[in-house]
This record gives sequence, structure tokens and C-alpha cells, in this order.
Amino acid sequence: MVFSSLTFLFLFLPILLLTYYASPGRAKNAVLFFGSLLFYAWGEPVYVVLMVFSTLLDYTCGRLVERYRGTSKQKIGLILSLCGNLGLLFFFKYADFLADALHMVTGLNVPKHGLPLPIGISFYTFQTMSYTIDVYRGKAKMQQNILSFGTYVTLFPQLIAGPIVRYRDIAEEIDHRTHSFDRFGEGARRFVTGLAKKVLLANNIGLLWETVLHTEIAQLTTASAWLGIVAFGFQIYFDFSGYSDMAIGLGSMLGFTFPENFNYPFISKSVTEFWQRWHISLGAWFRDYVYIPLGGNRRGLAIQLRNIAVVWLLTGFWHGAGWNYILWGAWFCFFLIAEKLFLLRLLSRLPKVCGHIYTQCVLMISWPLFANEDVGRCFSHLRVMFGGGVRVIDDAACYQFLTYAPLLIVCTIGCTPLMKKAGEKIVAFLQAPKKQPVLALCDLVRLVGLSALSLAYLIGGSYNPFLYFRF
Amino acid sequence: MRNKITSILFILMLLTGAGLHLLLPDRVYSERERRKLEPLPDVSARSILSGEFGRKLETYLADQFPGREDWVALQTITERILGKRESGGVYYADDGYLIEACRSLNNRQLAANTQAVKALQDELDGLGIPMHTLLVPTASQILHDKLPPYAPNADQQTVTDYVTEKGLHTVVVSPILSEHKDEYIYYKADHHWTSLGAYYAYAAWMQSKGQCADRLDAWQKETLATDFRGTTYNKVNDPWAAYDTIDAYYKNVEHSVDYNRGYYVTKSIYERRYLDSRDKYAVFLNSNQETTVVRRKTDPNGTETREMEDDPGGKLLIIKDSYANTFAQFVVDDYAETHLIDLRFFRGSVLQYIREQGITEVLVLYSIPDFAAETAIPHCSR
Repeated sequence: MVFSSLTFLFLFLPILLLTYYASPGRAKNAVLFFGSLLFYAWGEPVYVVLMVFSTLLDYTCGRLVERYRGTSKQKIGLILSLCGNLGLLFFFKYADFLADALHMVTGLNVPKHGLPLPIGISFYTFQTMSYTIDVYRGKAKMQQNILSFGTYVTLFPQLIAGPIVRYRDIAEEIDHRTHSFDRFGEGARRFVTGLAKKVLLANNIGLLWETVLHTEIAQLTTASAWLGIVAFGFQIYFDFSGYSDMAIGLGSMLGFTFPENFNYPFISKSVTEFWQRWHISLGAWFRDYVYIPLGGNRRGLAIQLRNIAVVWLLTGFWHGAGWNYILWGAWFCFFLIAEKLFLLRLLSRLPKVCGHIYTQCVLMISWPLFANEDVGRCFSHLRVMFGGGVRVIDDAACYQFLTYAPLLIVCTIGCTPLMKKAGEKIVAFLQAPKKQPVLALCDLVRLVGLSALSLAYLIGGSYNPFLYFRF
Repeated sequence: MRNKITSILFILMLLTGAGLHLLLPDRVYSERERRKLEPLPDVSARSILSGEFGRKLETYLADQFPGREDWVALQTITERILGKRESGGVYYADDGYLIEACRSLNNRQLAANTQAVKALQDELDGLGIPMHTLLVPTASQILHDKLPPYAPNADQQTVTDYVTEKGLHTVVVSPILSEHKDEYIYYKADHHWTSLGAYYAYAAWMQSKGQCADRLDAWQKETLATDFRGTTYNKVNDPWAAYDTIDAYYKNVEHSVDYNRGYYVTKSIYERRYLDSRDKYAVFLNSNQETTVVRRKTDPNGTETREMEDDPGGKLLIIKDSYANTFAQFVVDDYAETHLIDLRFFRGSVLQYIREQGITEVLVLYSIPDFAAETAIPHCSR
């Protein structure tokens, strides 16, 4: 099930919230656990078994780690967890890709299983691994209660599209969390904002990208190619950050504090900064569990550069089993290394606008690689972007631009902190007790307005894709 | 306080939506959208495991959502405010026109259709029966000034040029329609031309035969409806769409009309029961029928209802799409019999029909997008 569906909003969520808040404290986790299994099983009735398996595996591994702590066998739990989770991930996500690659290189015919990818597998395997690793490192306490642990693994708000919540982030809240109108209200506002970002902005600007994507390369003009790629950047940002907002909001309604996942990435002045603002939880995961264990930046420049390279190839590959994702990671890797070596210093001496332009250029060239699994199409799209098309501009491009101009403006404003700052100003202005009713009215208009518009688009049945089935 | 209100409001929205959905009865059909709505899906282990149940349930929830059409209208309004220029293949054009887009023309089908019509024309030439082809440019061609700037739009003139070059005796109507483009010749919320637009084409056809059409006021004008919203409105569901006026023009209000070889016989070419439905254009010649024969009415005593010095003889056959339904008003009194054939439903031999019925003149009348797309046209040379 996805959040931006009527089934979720008017069937699953009301029933879950009512049951959850009607249940006594100790039963709340059980409600969440079974509710989450249902949530997952809705779209993946069979693969829910995998999630139960992953839960049991890491629960056991955590216990094994504690049991043998200080002995020669203390690594057994850790290794089991890594092999189990990475094995699952490898089998479902990468086996067929490698079979193809092997066939391409050696000509060997390796059998492929052809199974579809279980939704969210890249998220939950990373999360369960984080638990065992943290217990092993002594950064988290072992979870005795399997239901509590199951609640963490299956927790529906963050299950299928992140953020990647590490066990230690919410270890305390799993067993002792507080519920309040403050948390619920904030969560509801956050959820509705996320829903609007996904349904109103991402889906609609995504249509522009779809149009460009389905244009024959031979008929694509330079202007259309750029327009399409700008639209794609907006789509992926509003979709992904919208999902994260909804997840964080739902978490808050249920008493959890999830880590932030996006912090206005498009205002970055360098690629380094971009990745500190984009999919933050994934970056944190790779930093804590790959980059630092490899030695991070403390073992000399050469090792550091190697570590950056490893992390970014993996990051690219994590996003999907395809050559384009590897290239995408490598593209960022190149600039991150260049920035580490000299570019950041150079940029700091130039006017700020240079950093913004440079970052946007790197991003615009990266999106075609991210958007097309067909590497050939990636490069032909890039070729057209840089003047290799039939024409620079045609009527279709002008028409698309004029049609989408208002939405592009809304998206541009939406990806900067402008609205947030304005909102904070208004709230600060209306903070006085006398003005509280006005503030409440503003909230009401915003909440009902955004919900109604999003609902209209959901009922109207417009384009509403789920973009993370390759993750 | 603020968060309490937000919390309660949020919960209330979810519960109201869910509650109303549960309480209100499901509908089978949406009159406004003209389609069947998804019923509650059956539950079975197989449909659940395959995920089909989940997909159907989502469609069911959307289709049966309380006030569905109003939500869709809200979406349309939002899209228009955000500058959307088209929806479902229909452009939001100037002056309240909803104009069906004609993006591309199917050249292969066009070639096949042209070849078939040419074959029929050659046969009839041999028999000495005159035949003309009248291809109607649609609003996206004649009213292209009203389309949004840079809107992709195929040039329909190329079709007329093509068929003329292939040797069809074409009636050129683009100039006269363009000349009168500021008049009400196309509906605003339907893809057809109006009776007035059809009259101008009739005049062009008469002229091409070296005759002069009567002035429009030779026909009596009657307004049949003022609240018509047709196909293009249905595609965009735009609450701001204009209402069209349907005018009828007739010299004799009564004819003998025979649909589908005696299946339904009536006295008027206007089937007024459609005026209470949404499909009001169907008032002209009872929507689209396989064969229609309109005979000039003679009263039981055998005398003409009108003084007829110019007693018309002749039998005209129109091979057509729905654009001919308004056109026919102007010709039915020029011939003793006017036959209309819709090739989508007609399964016989056109040539044989012409011989059997003693047809003396033939007109092929299609809108250009239809003529380039209709796969039934090759039947006409059978």
C-alpha cells in the first residue's frame, strides 16, 4: 500500500489510528506490528514472509551477539545478520543483473530467477542490519521483546520508501513513547504537506517528464530535453521528500521521532553539501556502516579517496541494479573527490552564485543517468541536451513550457526554504494568546485546502506512480 | 490548542470520508462521466494474493467516493488555474471553446481509405452516377487562432490536398468555413459543427455542382436546446464549460424516415427524445444508424404538402460519419429520397445498394480526422 492512495487514507489509516489509540499502552506495539504486516502484505502478499524472516533473523542475531559477547564467537551473530540481509538483497535485487553482466562478459548462460523485487527490501534490510551492527558495537541495547523488535522492523510509516531509521534512533521510543496532541497535530500537518508535495507537485510535474521521456529521441529538441530533465529533478525531489514528510508525520502521530531525510537539497552550493541535504538517512547509513569502518578520513588521503569511491559506487548501486545507477554514483563520486581535493577551496573564493550554478549543472547532467535504465537512452538524452538534437526548439517545446510554467514556478519556490520561513514568521506573529484563533484558522485553511486538493487529484485518478520499486 | 484543533480536524476528515463512503449507496453508472463505475470487488484468495483485489478496491474507492464528480471538477478547476491548456486530448481554447486536438493524421489509413473511395468513384463514373467527397475540417483547423499558443495541431488541409491529388472529386469547404469562422459554426463543448456550419458546406457543395443554394432564411429555424454540453465537455468535465444552442433548420417538418430497413419508421428527422438526455447531438437523425432513408412526405391524398413546381426527383446516397447528420437537414427536400449509410455498421455491398435502390447521386461526407482514422471506410468499395 502507498500513502497516496484512497485505500490508505480512508480505510487503513482511520482503522489503524482508532485501534491504536483505543488499545492500552502495552498492546499498542502489537497493533502496529500486525497493522504494518497488513500494510505491507497489501501490495506484496507473498513477500511479507521475507519481512517476517528478516525480523526473526536479526532478533536472533542480536541475542547471539549478546550471548557470546567477549568470547571468540561474538562475531557469529554479526556475520549471520550481514550474510542473511545482504544475501536477501543480493538474491532479489542483484542476482539477475549479475547474471546478465556475466553473460555479457563471458557469454555464459547463467539461469535467472526473474522474480519481482520485493518493495522496500533495500530499506528494511538496511534497517535490520543496523540493529545487529549497533548491538555488536555496543551502541544499542539488545531488544528482548520480539514484538517490540518486529514493530521496529515493520513500522509501516518508514517501511517502503524511508527514511532509513536506524534502530538506535528510535530504540527508546519503541518501548517508551509519549503521545500528545502536540505530536499528533504536528504529525498531521507534516503528513498533509507531504501528501500535497507528492500528489499536487510531483505527480503533475512528472507528467511533463513522461511526455519528454516518451518522445522519440530523433524528434527531441534541446529545449524539450532540458525542460524534461528539470521536471524530472522536481518530480523525484517532491515525490521522495513528500514520502519522507508523510513518513515523519505518521511517525509523529504514533509517537515516534524519525530522522529528517531532506533539507532543501536544491539550494546547495556544492555536491558535498547536496549530499548532506539529500536522502540524509541513506548518507548517514553509508557513513556509519561503510565509510567509517573502512577508515573514513583518518588513514590518509589515498585511503579516504578510496573510501569515497567505494561508498559512492555502492550508493549508486543501492538505488537500483543497473549500469545507469552505477554510472550515476560514479558521476557524483568524481565531483565529491574533486571537491575534496581542490574544488571546495576554489568555490569558497568565488561568489556564491557560482557554487549554485555548478551544483545545478552537476545535478542536471546526473538526472538522465538516474531516470533511464537504458544507458543508451541516458547518453542520447544527454547528447540532445548539449545540442545533438534535430533542432534547438520547436512548437512542442514552447507549448510544454508555457503549459507548465506556473507549476515550474511553484516547484522552484517549493524547493527553497522560502515558504517555511514565511510560515514561521506568520506563526511567530500570531503566537500571542489573543491571536490564537487566527492561527487556528490559518491552520484550518491550509490543512483542509491541501487535503481537499490532494484528494481531488487522487479521486480524479490522475498519474500517480510509485517511483521506488527499483530501490 | 493549535495542535489539538489540527489533530481533531485531521481525524474528522478521515472519518467523514470513510463514514460517508460506507453509508452512501454504491452507484452503478455515472451520468456525468458517462461510464460504469467499479463495484465492490469480490474477495477470493486468488485475487488477494495476486494483488488484483487491492487494485480493484482502490478503483472502487475512487469511483464510489462521495461526490466523486465534484471532486473531479475541483481537480479540473485547479488544473486550469495552474495553466493547464488541455485535458484528455481537448484544448481549452479562447472564447470558451473546448476543441478536440488533432495531433497527427494516420497516413496509412488515409491512403487505404482514399484508395477505396476512389475505387467506388471510378465504378460510379462508369455508371454515370456523379459522386463528390466532402471532407470537413474540424474546429482545431478552422478555429486554430483560438487554440493555446504553440499547441501541437496537425494541418488538416494536407488531407484535402492529398485526396484531391489522388483524383477524388472533392468539395472544398475550408475557404467558406474560414470566411464564416466568427459565426457559430462549431459547438463550444462538442466536437461537431453546428447546423449553420453544415449549411455553409451545403452551399459550397451546391456551388461545386454549378447550382446555387437557397438563402438560409428559406429554412425555418427552430432552437431545439440551449443547454447542450457534448463530447468535449465530457472529456474535460470542466464546470465552467459553455452551454451550446442546438438549432434545427427545415423546410418541411415532416418526412418519412426509415431506420435500418424498416426497423424503426418515424415522421421526423429530429429524434426529440434525445433532447432530455446528455447526448443531445443525437437528436439529428437518431444518433448513428446503419442505414437511414428519408423520403419527402406526400400527404395521403397524394398531393404534395408544398407547392412543388420544382418537383425534385433523384435519390441521394450519403456515405458518412456523424457530421452528416446536421448536413442532411438541408438536402432532404432536394431529393425524393435521401439515403445515409454508416460504414461502421453497414455490412453489405455499397455498389449493390446503389444499384438496388436506384441511387442517382452519391456524397461521401466525413470529418477529416475521422476520414484519416476510420477503419471501416475501405468497405465502401466492396
